[in-house]
Parts: sequence; C-alpha cells; structure tokens
Amino acid sequence: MSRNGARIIVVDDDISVRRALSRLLISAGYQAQTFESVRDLLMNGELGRTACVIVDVRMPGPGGLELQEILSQVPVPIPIIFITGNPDVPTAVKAMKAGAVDFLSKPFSEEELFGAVERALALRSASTDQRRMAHRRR
Amino acid sequence: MIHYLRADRTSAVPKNAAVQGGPAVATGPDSVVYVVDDDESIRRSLARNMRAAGLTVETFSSAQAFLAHDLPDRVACLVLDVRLPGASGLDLQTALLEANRAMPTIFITGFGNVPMSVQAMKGGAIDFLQKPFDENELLSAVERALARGRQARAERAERLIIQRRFDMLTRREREVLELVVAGLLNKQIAFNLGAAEKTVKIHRGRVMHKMQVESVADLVRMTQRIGIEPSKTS
Amino acid sequence: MMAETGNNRVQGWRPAATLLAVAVAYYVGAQLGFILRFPPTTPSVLWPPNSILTATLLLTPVRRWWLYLLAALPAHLAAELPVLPPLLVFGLFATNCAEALVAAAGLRWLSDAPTRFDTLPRMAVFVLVGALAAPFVSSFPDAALVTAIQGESYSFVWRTRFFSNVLASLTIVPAVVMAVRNGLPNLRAAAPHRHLEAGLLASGLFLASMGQFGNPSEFGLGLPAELSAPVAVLLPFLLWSAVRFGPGGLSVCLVATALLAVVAGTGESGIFVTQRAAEAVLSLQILLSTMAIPLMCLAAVIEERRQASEALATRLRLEEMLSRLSAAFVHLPSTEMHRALDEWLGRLGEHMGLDCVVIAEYSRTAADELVVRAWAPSEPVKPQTVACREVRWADDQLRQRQTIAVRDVGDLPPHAHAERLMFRLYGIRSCIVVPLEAGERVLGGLAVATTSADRALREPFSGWLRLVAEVFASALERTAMEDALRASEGMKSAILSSLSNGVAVLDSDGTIVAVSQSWTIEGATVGSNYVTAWRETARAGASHGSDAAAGIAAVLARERDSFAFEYTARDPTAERWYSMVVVPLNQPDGGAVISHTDVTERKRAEVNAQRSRQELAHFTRVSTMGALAASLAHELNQPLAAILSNAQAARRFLDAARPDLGEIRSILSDIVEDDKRAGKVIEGLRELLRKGETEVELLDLNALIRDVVKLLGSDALIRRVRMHLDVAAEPLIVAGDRIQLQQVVLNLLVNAMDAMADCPTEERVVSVQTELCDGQTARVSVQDAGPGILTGQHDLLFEPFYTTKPTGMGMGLSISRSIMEAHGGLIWATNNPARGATFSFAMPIRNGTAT
Repeated sequence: MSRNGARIIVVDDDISVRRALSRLLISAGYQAQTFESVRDLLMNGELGRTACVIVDVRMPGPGGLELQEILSQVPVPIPIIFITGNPDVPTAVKAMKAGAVDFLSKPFSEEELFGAVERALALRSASTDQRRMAHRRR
Repeated sequence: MIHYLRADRTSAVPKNAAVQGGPAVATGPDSVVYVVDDDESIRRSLARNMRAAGLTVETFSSAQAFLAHDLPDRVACLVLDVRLPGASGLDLQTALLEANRAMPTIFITGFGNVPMSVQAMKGGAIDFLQKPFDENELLSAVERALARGRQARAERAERLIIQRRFDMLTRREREVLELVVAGLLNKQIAFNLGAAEKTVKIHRGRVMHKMQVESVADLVRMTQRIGIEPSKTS
Repeated sequence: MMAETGNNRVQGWRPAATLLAVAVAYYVGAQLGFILRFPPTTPSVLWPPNSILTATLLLTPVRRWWLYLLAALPAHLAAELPVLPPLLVFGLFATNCAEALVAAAGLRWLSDAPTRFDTLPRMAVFVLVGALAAPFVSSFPDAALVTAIQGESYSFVWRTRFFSNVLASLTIVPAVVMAVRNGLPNLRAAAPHRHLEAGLLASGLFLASMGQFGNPSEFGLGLPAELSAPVAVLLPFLLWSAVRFGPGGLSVCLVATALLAVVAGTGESGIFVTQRAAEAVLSLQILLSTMAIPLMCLAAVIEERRQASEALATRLRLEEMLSRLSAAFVHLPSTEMHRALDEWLGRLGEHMGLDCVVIAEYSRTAADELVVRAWAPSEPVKPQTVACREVRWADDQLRQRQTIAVRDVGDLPPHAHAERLMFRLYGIRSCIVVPLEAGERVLGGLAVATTSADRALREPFSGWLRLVAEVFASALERTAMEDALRASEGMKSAILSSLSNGVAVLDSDGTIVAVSQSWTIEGATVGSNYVTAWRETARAGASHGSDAAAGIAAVLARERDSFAFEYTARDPTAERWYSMVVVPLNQPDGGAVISHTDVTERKRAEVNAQRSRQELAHFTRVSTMGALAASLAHELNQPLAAILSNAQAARRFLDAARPDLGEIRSILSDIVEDDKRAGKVIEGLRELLRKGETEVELLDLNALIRDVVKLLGSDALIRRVRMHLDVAAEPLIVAGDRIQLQQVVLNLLVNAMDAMADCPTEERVVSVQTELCDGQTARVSVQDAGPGILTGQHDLLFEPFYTTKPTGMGMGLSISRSIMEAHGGLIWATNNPARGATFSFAMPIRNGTAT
C-alpha cells in the first residue's frame, strides 16, 4: 500500500468539515472516504483497506472514543486521529492513553493533520509488516 | 496473531535467564517516585500521600534540579508538573527522551490544555492529571508507571544481555544471523554469502548457541530488541 | 303680717302645709271679722276671709283652686257654725268662694301680672275687678241669704257687706300677695334705716289713728263731710307709706288703720259712738275705701316709677359692666383668658349680688367633658372637670342651645337628679344657664344662681346675661381659635423648619409666601414669583424650565392634582439632580406647596445600582457563557476548521500543473459560507456578552426562543439532552430587551440541562413550550426531567446565591427574576406530577409586530 494513495476515512457529522477535509486529503494525494456518523462507517465502510481514521470526538450517536473502543477489537489496529471542535483535556488524555495517534483541535493546520496522518500510516505499515512477517514465518 | 502481540508484552528472555533480576514488588526499596513541582506545599502533600502508600519519594522543585541529580539505577517514575519555572515539564520529558533516560512520567497540572496533554501523551506519558485530582487516581497512575518502569528496566537488561551475546558473534556469524532472521534458508544464505552450505550451517549453529536460543523465532525477537534489521534480500 | 306667717309657703312644694296654712288664715280672718263688728249687726266692718281666699287663688295654679277652697271650708264652718244657723253658714261660704273666684279669675284674665301691683294698670285692674266688682256681685246673693234667714234689711246687709269686703280686698289682698311673693327675706335684707323708717311710720300712724278715732268730741257728726278731719290727719301717714313703701307698705298701713279705727270705733269713746252703729260702720268703710283707692293707685304709680328708675339704674349698671367686660375681653391674649374669666366671674357675682357664677366650657380635648369654673362668695375659682353624663339634663339643654331657667328647685324635671342634688348641696334655689354659642357650635354655658327664688331670673338681668354669655363665648372661641392657630402655626413652622427638603408655599399667583429653612433655591425667595423664576430659567436656555413653569401653573390653576418633576442643574462642582413635587394647597384662596429635594445621591445610587445590576447580569451572562463555552467553541471551531482545511486544499490544488478551477471555486464558496457561519456564531456570542443598556423593543418571543434553543443545540448535544420545542401558533409579541429575555430563556434551559446531568441519557429531555394565555399574556415554560425542586425550596430558588450546583453561582434565576420584574412579568417554578420541574415565566402581550 503506497503512502500516496493511502485510503483515509473521515467521520464527522458536519458536512462542511467533511467536505473540506476530504478535499485537503485528496489535494495531498490521499484517498478520502467520508462518513457522517460512526454508525454509517461501521455499516458501509471498508475498514480492512483503511490506512487511518480521522474521527470527530463528539457526534450524535456514538463518537470518536466509542469508535476507538470498537476498533481496538480489530486484529490489526487502525490508527485513529481524533479531531474536535470542543477539546478537553480528560478526553484528549483518554484518547491518547487508548492509543490514538493524535488529538487535533479544530481548526488545525494541514501540517498538523498530515503529520498525524503520516505517523498513522507509519504505525499502520509497521504493524502490517509485522503481520506479514508473521505470515511468512508460518 | 493475538498471541503474538501479547507475547510482545512479556520478556523475551527466558525466566531462568541469569540476567533477569530485581524484585517485582511495586514498593520495593529499589523503586522510587520522583516528584518535580515548584509548589512546596504540593510537593510535601504528594510526598506524604505516596509515602503513606509505601512508596519511596524524592522531590525536586525544578526540572534543572532533577536533571542535576545523579539518578541511581532504580525502578523509577516521575510525577511532573507541566508548568515549572525555567524548563517546563514537557521540556524535561523531551530532554530525558533525548538523553535516552526516558522515565515513565505522570503529568500533573493546574492549567492543562489539550495540545499540552496531547504532546505529553505522545511523548510517552503514563497519564496527564488535572489538579485537583483524586489521590487514588495518582496512586494508580504511579503504580502503572512503576510497572512500566520495571518492564522497561527488564527490557533494558534483556537488551543488554542480548547485545553482549551479539557482541560475542564474529562478523561472519553476524552476517549469517541477519540473513537467518530475514527468513532465508541455509542454501540461500550460502548463496548470498558465497559460502558453502555446510559452513553456513556451522555458523548458524554457533549463532544459535552464542545467542542462547532454540528457535529462529526467538532469534528474530531477540534481534528486534536490539534493533538489528533483517538484511534486505535482493 | 299675719298673712306672712301663715301663707308664705303657698307656692312651695308642701301642698298639705299650704292647705293647712290657708285654713288657719281663713279661720283667724273669720274670727277677726267677727271681732270687727258693731253688734248686733251681722256684717263686719272688715271681713278678711274672702280676701285671704282671693289672695290664695291668685297665688296658686288654677288647677289647684278647688283644693284650697275645700281647705277653707272646715275653717269657715268652725268659725261660723257657733254663731250662725248652718244653712246661712253654707250659703255664706258659697258666696265667699264666688267672690274669691270672680276676683281671681277676673284678675288673671285682665291683668298681665295678677299678683303684682306695681304699675297703675295692674293696680287699676285690681281695684276695679278684685276690690270692687267681685264684692259687688257677690254681695247680692249674700245679702239675700242673710235677709231670708236672719230677717235683716236687704239693702243694709248688701251695703255693709259690699263695703266691708271692698275694704278687706283693698287692704288685705295686696298685703298678703306681696308678702308671700317677696317673702320675709326681702324684709330681712332691707337696710336698717328702712326698718327705722317703717317703725316711725307705724308709730306715727298708730298715734294719729288713736287720736282721731278715739276722740269723738272733736269728731263732727256730719257725714261724710265730717270725715274730712280724720282723713286730713291720717293722709300724710298713708301718703308716706305709699311713697316710701309702695303698695305693699300702703296696704299694710291701710289694714292697720282699719283695725285701729274699728277697735277705736267699737269702744266707748270711738268716733262712731255717737252715731248709729250701722251708719258709723258705713262711714268708716267709705272713708277708708275712698282713701285707699287713690292711695293705692298713687303707690302703684310711684312703685312703677321707682321700678322703672331702678330698672334703668340696673340696666345702666349692667350695660356698664357689659362694656367693661367686653373691653376686658376683646383684646385679651388667649393666654390670659382663663385668669380673666376667673376674675370676671367674681366681679359679676359680687356686683350682681349673686351666690354663684359658673362658666362651663366643653373640653377641647375630650368632647364629653366640661371644664367648670365656679365662683361663690369668698371662694376662689378653681377649674374642675365634670363629665357631661353627670349633668346630662343640663348638658342636653345646652347642646340644644336652650336657656335653662330654674325659678326654684321644684322646677327641675324629675330626671335631673344630678342637678337637683347640686341645688340642694349648694343651697341654690334659682338658677339661669345661658348657652355659650359660637356660630353653630355650643362652647359651654354660663350659669348664675342665687340662694333665693326668682331673683336671678328677673329681666333685664337674664337678657343681659345672654349678652355676657356672648362676650364670654366669643372670647372663648377666639381663645380656641388662637390656640388652634398658634398650634397650627407652631406645627407649621416646626414642620417647615424640620424639613430637609426645600419647601415653599405659593399663593394662587405663584408668589412665594413661605419657605422652609432648607429652601435654598436661588432667585426664589419669599415674595418672588416661582413660576416667573422658572420661565426665566427657560428663557436662559434651560429646556426643562418651561415644562416646570407649565406644570406649576397647571397645579395653581387647579387643572392638575399634582405635578412631579425631576431635573438636573449644574452647581460649580458637579451635576446635581433635583426632584420637585407640586401639590395644590387645600384652601379657598388656592395656592400650592412646592417640595424640592436634592436627589443627586439617590440618583447616583440608582445609577450605581443599575450599573451593578447590569454588571451582575453581564457577569452572569459571562459565567453562563463559561458554561456554554464548550458548545460555543464547537460552534465556532467547526466552520473555522472547514475554512482552514478548504483554504489549504485550495492552495494545493493551485500548485497542481493544471489546477481544477471548478473545484477551487467550489472551495472558495464553501469558505465564504463557513466564514458567514462563523461570523454568526461570533455575533451571537457578542450579543450575549454585550454589556449594554436596556433596549426595549417589540419582539416575538417564539422567534427569540427558537434562537436560544438553536444556540444551545450543540450544548444539548454534548450533554446528550434532547430538546423538544413546542411554540404557540401565533407570534407572541412582547416589549422587552432582547438580550435580557434571551438571558432568561438561556438560564432556564441551562438550568434544565444541569438538572438532568445525573439522569440516564434516554431520560434527558427538555420541553420548551410557549403559549398565549387569555389573549393577554405570553407564557413560556421549560420542563425538565431532573430531580425536581426540593420541598420547601420554592421560595429560595429565585434568591441570589441559591444554588444546588457545585459550580453554580446561584445568580441565574435571581437575575432572571429581576429581568422579569423589570418587564412586568412573573417567573415561577413548579414540580411536575411525574418528575422534574417546570420553570415558567409570563409577560404581557403587546400589540404590534416584532422589530
């Protein structure tokens, strides 16, 4: 999976944010897929081919933390980048402790976003390599 | 795979290994909690609480004072105020990381914000507590930190042993090892090194012996610990 | 004198004794009549019983006449039955009674004062009716009876009886009547020289009579010419008595003369010895009668003149006293009044020979009390208070403005117990009480009393007493008015000087007539015109001056009931606020009272309070904002994040070899939209944080609530609270400050959400409802499903610093309440039947459309 062209999922209830983020990611050469809610993602998304998930912390219905909890059950963890318009320390710490790649406060710059995305992709590929090696060992 | 991942958390060194040492109890005399806070009364109250919980505590009023202190090799964790006069808690965290003296850290702060907390967590902090916090919250964080510290210490010791074993390998043996962990067969190694398969077999046996491993898988894990990348095969 | 001893209580209150006295007098009179006979003739020279009966009837009420006549019957029988046959005795009694009745009835009918003989007309009536007509008429049946039974000559008997009774009537009736009326006290009260004079007269008359009638040799036989000599001798004495002692004295003298003449004449050496008895009797009777009639008239004339001159003198004396009294009281200061009253009571009593003078004044402080000042000889006046109910009868009479005249204690009505008791106690017999009248009011009464009957009541004294009462009344009224005036002046000046406000009294033209000490308005002193002063202020450029002038003028013209006005004026150091209140003066001349207060401090306090309130409201808004910061940050950060990402994406697109301009245009329009969105959030934020003055406008409560609910949408999201909004179909137009009303709604919504923080997520519902009640009130209710209001805390809810939240200030509901109060609305809270509480507010609907 090449870095450029990595598929990134955006989950945000605000269409304006979704559209902007999707554009930005695409402009940087990523693939972007947007969902308006966690439920939407879980029902329609293809997590297996996903490099990382950018998710809003709070949305109607389940939010980013709930998604993180669900994804921690997946054999290969999908790196999660949290974004929020209403940041607070406990949530940030909780997300980070649970292994979030980053926790970005809106509005965030492209440098912040891409930095986080790159780190996520690195984590993702590392774990993918490990998995691949383990396959090979067998 | 899950098993594999979990194995990551246990020591790669067999339990009977001579290098494994140190008591596993949280409150042993070899474990210490360093508290760095510029507020005298907070230092005192934290120290009092943790001593009451059976911990050994040393307090410092600034990052500089802490860095100047000669730290003995003990299981340790750091309770660190984010805002300090001079270098901040985050600066101290970075400095320790860069000095390769990273220590499980619990940040405490009265004026925390989200970027600060995220940075601290990215830097490997165990927790980021906002004042006022519950005493038990801190103690449980300290316990986690000490556990992490113990684990890190054990890993460090393990790496040291592995490194020593590795150091005993000859250049040729190292070349063989790198190819073995890359998953090549003896024949392939021999081809790669331009040596006889038999010779490779002997080298391989010596590597296994010197590294004190039974299987290739153990060898792979060990070499990963000390950062030996498998050779890229063409 | 006999009549006096026997009859001087005829008029009194002991009828039995009086009846007995009449009987005794009648009997004695009859015995005397028998003595004064020239035997053997039946008729007497002087027959007193008839005269005694006449006098009795004159002195007694008509309704009791029969009693007295009946009382005389036993006396008559006792006196005459031994000497005369019974038939004759009864007949004679009838004729005697008839004579008395004719005389008494005739006198009562014809005379203005049948018991008085002090004027010529009264005396003439008495002589003609009582002394001549009655005996004349009654003598016919009498003579007929005697002739029939005794066989005597009719003409002789008639003649004898007629003259005998004429003489008796002329002499005895005035004597008895006057003795009874004036009584013995009158005699006793007379000066010693009068007693001496009376003694001289009596002895002179006695000697002359004895000389005349006792010496027949000097007495000629020719009749009636022969009588000239004795007449000449007796006349001076009788004239003396008539001139000096009046009809009473004369009648006594005549009785005495008649007795002496008869005694002398019936003796051995009397003037009638040489004559035939009948002739002698007749001549004596004619002599005495003819002398008596002119003398009586003379005495009456003299008495009349004496009384007239005496009345004149009395009147003069009274007038003099009255004028002195008036002079003394007319300019008397009210403080001297009571001392002067005491002094003059004494003077009146002494000069008028009264036994008691009392002035009773209704208490000014207690309407049911009388302040009584009583003078009695040799007793100092001492004011004392008497409750009106103790002298109820007199009190009633006074209040009905009746003059009370009590001739004698018996005249008091039966229920006047207290008064009767006082009469007895002080030995008073007659009394007159004149009301002290001042206009329509009765101030009290003036009473004079004597220990003798009748004296105090004589004219002109009682009339004069009314004049005295007038003087006293006007003096007392003036005192009362002066006291009241002084009290009111004192009160007025005390009030004026104690006022901290500047107060001025204006007359109807606006001229200042009085000011309080603290009145320090420049150019507005006593005598200047206040309205003009304001007009000049207006002319000098102060815009409020003409308003003030118009307002004061309107009050002065009674066009307005009051006028209140606030204005600022610049003194050298700072701007000051003044409040002026103008109220009309409730008096016929009109005018007004101006109250002028420096309200700068109050104004400052008001401004400060207003500012504090606004600051507090602002603070609460800010702290509410703090609570809302999360959601607001979210609201703002969403578009900002979108903008940033879009802009950066655009930059990257532009870096491409062939930029997709369509995409970039789309990005830019998204940026514009998000920017507007962010701007709106900030606008809302700024409005909420605005620290402004109150701005009242017409607004639709429904729209306002929708805005607030929208604003809180993301907060509700974060708190996992569902909001249910149910607005009234019609717009609810109210007048108010948008921000403040938003604040109230915001407080209630945040409150409701806070209340449900510990509830399970699915129960967190806030229902907001707006409705129009009875077409006049808009009601908004915010219902939560929280724990509700604790018992007993309803009253505390809206108090400042009441809070159940760990982080709350407890100001939200308190501020909301003050906002509602400022909008003429109400705010309240109730617990829901199921769970949770409903906070509601209501405010009046206005006509119009929202601005």
